[in-house]
Amino acid sequence: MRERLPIIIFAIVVAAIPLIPGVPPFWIVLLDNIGLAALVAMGLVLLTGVGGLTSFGQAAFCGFGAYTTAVLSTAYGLSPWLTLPLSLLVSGVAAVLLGLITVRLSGHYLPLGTLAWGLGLFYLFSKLEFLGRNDGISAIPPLSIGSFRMLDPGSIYYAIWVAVLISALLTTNLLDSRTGRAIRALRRGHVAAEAFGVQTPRAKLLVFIHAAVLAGLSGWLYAHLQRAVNPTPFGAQAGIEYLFIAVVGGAGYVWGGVLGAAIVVILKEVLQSYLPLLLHGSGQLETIVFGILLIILLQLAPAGVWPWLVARLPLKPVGKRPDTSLALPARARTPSEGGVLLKIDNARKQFGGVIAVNSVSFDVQAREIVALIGPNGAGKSTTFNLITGVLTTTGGSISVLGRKIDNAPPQEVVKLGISRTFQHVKLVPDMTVLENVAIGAHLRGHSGPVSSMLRLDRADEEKLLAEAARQIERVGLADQMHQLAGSLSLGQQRIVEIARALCVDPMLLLLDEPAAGLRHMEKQRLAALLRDLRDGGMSVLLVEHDMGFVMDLADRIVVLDFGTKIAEGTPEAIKTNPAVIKAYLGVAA
Amino acid sequence: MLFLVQDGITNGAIYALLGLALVLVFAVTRVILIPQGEFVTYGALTYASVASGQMPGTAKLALAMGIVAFALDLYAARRALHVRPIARAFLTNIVLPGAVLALTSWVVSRQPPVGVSIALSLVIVAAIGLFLYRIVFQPLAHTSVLVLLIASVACHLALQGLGLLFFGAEGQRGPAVLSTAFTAGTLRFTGQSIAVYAITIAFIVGLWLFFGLTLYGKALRATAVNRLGARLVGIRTTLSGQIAFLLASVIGALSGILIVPITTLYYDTGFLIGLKGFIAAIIGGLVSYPLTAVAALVVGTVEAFSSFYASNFKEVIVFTLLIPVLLLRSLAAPAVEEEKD
Amino acid sequence: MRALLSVSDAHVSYGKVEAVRSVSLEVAENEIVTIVGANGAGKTTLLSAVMGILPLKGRVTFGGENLARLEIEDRVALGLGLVAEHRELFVTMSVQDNLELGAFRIAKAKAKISLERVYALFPRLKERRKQLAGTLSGGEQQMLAMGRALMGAPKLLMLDEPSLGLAPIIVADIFRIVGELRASGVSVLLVEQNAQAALRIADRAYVMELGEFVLSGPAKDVAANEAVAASYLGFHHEGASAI
Repeated sequence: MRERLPIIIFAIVVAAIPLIPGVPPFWIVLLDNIGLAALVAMGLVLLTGVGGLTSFGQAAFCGFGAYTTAVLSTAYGLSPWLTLPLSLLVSGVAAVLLGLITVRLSGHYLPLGTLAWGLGLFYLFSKLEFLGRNDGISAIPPLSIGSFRMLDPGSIYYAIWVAVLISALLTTNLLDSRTGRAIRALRRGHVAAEAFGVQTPRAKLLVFIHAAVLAGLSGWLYAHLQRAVNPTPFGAQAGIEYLFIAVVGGAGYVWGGVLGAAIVVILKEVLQSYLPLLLHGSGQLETIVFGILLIILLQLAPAGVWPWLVARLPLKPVGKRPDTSLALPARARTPSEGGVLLKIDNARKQFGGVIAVNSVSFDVQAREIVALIGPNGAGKSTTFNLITGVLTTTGGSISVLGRKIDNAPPQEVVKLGISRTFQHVKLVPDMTVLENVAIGAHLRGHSGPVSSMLRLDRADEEKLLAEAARQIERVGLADQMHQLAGSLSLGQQRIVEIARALCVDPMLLLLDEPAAGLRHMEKQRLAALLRDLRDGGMSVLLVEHDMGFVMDLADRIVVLDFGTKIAEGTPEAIKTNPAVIKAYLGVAA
Repeated sequence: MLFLVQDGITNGAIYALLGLALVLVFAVTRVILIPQGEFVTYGALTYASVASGQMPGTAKLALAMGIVAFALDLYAARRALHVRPIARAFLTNIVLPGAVLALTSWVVSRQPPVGVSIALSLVIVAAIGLFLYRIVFQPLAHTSVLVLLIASVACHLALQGLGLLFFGAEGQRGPAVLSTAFTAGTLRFTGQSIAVYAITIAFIVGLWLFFGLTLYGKALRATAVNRLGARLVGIRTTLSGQIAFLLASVIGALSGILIVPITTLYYDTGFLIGLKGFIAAIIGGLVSYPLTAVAALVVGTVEAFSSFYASNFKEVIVFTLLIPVLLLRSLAAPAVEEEKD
Repeated sequence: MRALLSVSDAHVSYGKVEAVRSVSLEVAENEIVTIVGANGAGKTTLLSAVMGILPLKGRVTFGGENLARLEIEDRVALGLGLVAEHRELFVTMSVQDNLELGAFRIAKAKAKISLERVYALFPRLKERRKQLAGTLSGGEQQMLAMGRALMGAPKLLMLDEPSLGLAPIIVADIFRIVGELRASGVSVLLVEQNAQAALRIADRAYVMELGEFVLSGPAKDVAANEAVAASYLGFHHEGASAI
């Protein structure tokens, strides 16, 4: 309950403001507008700040929400409460349609794509006959509960702020969940998330819909606050302004959206009402000053005002240690011992004219540690990427327990019990070690976004976190569990990746240079852990350059050079193999 | 039919220029230059004002921004004040815009020839572009693309507001750059449209030579390809940024000067024009110059046709045209791992 | 011999981790100094900080000048050059363009002489001068990166893992050229994981472990040190270069 305390205080303050005698009604109008903007900005925080998808088009979704209720409540006389779900539905469906096209866009195409349909929809709103063209629709009925009609800004105030608080709560709940971790991993690229079964396009579409529904809610409230709609507030200009709000407040933080809304709305209001008095000027003086102030604000706090503020508050989040007695069901193991687990048969990979992997064949047996060694550029990491489905093979086949898996997507490969670490660490640096590792257990949980928002996922969530905590303890990082992953040394981050891979409950563990950056003692501990895992029934395939480590640990070694396998055998045999000495080890061995 | 194509090509040529500038600025500084539209408006309306004997407010803005830029330079160098760099900063930031302001106010009352009006407008807008980089984007150079984008939009707002202040809400037209005309078959070529083609082509050739042959042009390309690599050979990021903004503002102003004799321009017209250049740039993937130029011609032609057949939905058509193109582009792009932050 | 580069009590943090702790180092004129150590020891971080890419706490002087407030570009102008681990070439530009840009801060006439010298040092680059840098092989890219740095006429060239991912035969070539640089009056600070090769050509060496120097001295003595031999020279050999 302690972490909820600031929110409760905030809710009480918000509820009390209109009751204070002497509060100018104009303040209430301002707060209404802040609430409306905060709803949209919150969605953008999730979309842009957390998910990394920049959108200029959010105002259009407000438009969908506002126009839906406007048309239905005027032309068809529907009650506003009935139009609420319909408004949200229309915004959501629009998001699905636009999202299906837009979230496929990568890099800078995405923000531009959203700008394009933002503009397109604005012109559509202002040209369509049944939406009243540029004049819009007026005489929209007010919200009412029984005989209480929310006719003035003061009475709709509570509706708006209840919506803001509930949305903020649902959004923070969502972020702190299985789905939330998948969303937060999006910004760091797809490969790591997909390696643990996250359907990244679906996760992107989800945040897109979430943001659109919040914007639709804001639009619905707006329509009943103004009781009239026209295209202007749903144009590109407004879409851009929402992005301002999110960035100024702090694009990665839900409450940053609320704070940003307050800053921008109040700033604009102050400028609009006082600037003309001060300067007796005409024209858009306030836009000029607003633009300039915004630039100054960005130069002072490029990450946003909310994190700047939080860093100055003496609040320290306390991480709760998960109850590790909770267990997830384990994977059914094949009883057969010594069978072939992974078989690579004549695998080929060609990039343009370069053959990175040239007809390589080898296998990994159950309960075996196999090392893949060779000079840089020999094709070791490419082989890993072929096995895990990150890359598709140009030829040959890869099978697991006799089933062909070549060219299956990473999400399918991990389901078979193959998990991996990366040569270049792919953790989310601003998530804790525990949260990062829990991504590894993604496929072993089943709570969806809706149950996460409503906190119905807690039993499932506790089991996932317990599993993550157990694996973190297993690799010896229990003390770092609640630190941010980015604050660990590179060597420790590699170990965190191993814990994450272990959360899959894999049959086969692929480790890409796990010992790099570790001290001698740590290497020995890692070797002991890997032996333990093998003796517990797991197989390990590793790429490693530390020959002392490899020779000591591996049951079998496969040597690659220029994409071709040049040798395979026990460490003793490899040490004395003339071809290997020539290409890789050198005479000193 | 044919005259629509002709219209499209005239517009498209302008969009091509603007698109090229956007690509350049983005590649070098990571800034998506929304205020490009204001460079267009400022160029056009400054030219129109000077030609009609009015004092343009932009000349004063250039001096004001120069003073701020100089103050920032002084602040940045506060620990080690050397005479030469400060003298140089004083020269470019204060003396140059001051001299231009003085010259403009002397010239406006004397019905200057077209060439003089053009030159003055170009210098004024170029100075604004240069100072804009120094004041806004140089201090933000280390931040994310998103923050730069927001700053860019903020600049657009401020500059557009200033545009209204300087030029009023009324539209303006300027005198034609070339006033001859001839007909070939069913098509009538005005001197102005010929000027548009000629100047666009000259500029594109000029840019091509600049990037292909000169050391500074190559340095700019190098910065676009590999920022750290460029710094390691001693190319200052700020220098590249300045050149990029200078080129972009000159190109913007020039486009404005070329359009304003054909169409009436308002203080806020630039945004939409810039946006279409932008669409061309995006279709070009923000990297390819030739593709951007071709895309600009397509955008111009589509616009001409849709404004003839469905003028109400002209903007809808132009902007939604973008989505399938974007989709194709990102599907065609290699699936590389994007790591931001 | 006068110290050309002098680093004293340097600390470098990478994110929240202190990757280099209290490191002091000197490179004299006409000297080849190497820093050897395992991957993740902080070698690259140290070089980046000396170049000004990462912030450094402590004192760094070059040719007697304090580098504290100088940007990367100013350090280049003073005669400090870095061939970075990832080479940082202008991949979509020609070999010759890359080299010409290497002389960005140098007078045109001087640059011409530099270009001749670089082509003499790396005849392969002259053959490929019209080719795009991105289409070169790994070894040629390394040569180009070194050539480009030499175009700026540096007094001290810092090389970060020049043998990384290269075939043994090319590694030998690169090390031979590093040796030749000293003869032409360029000092070298060489960071290498391939300790054997590095110690063979260096005058002096520092051994780095977990962000600190644990051993330093004449390269011969360091190579003879048993602990070093056990940890770094064991299985490593030319070609055994590794990330």
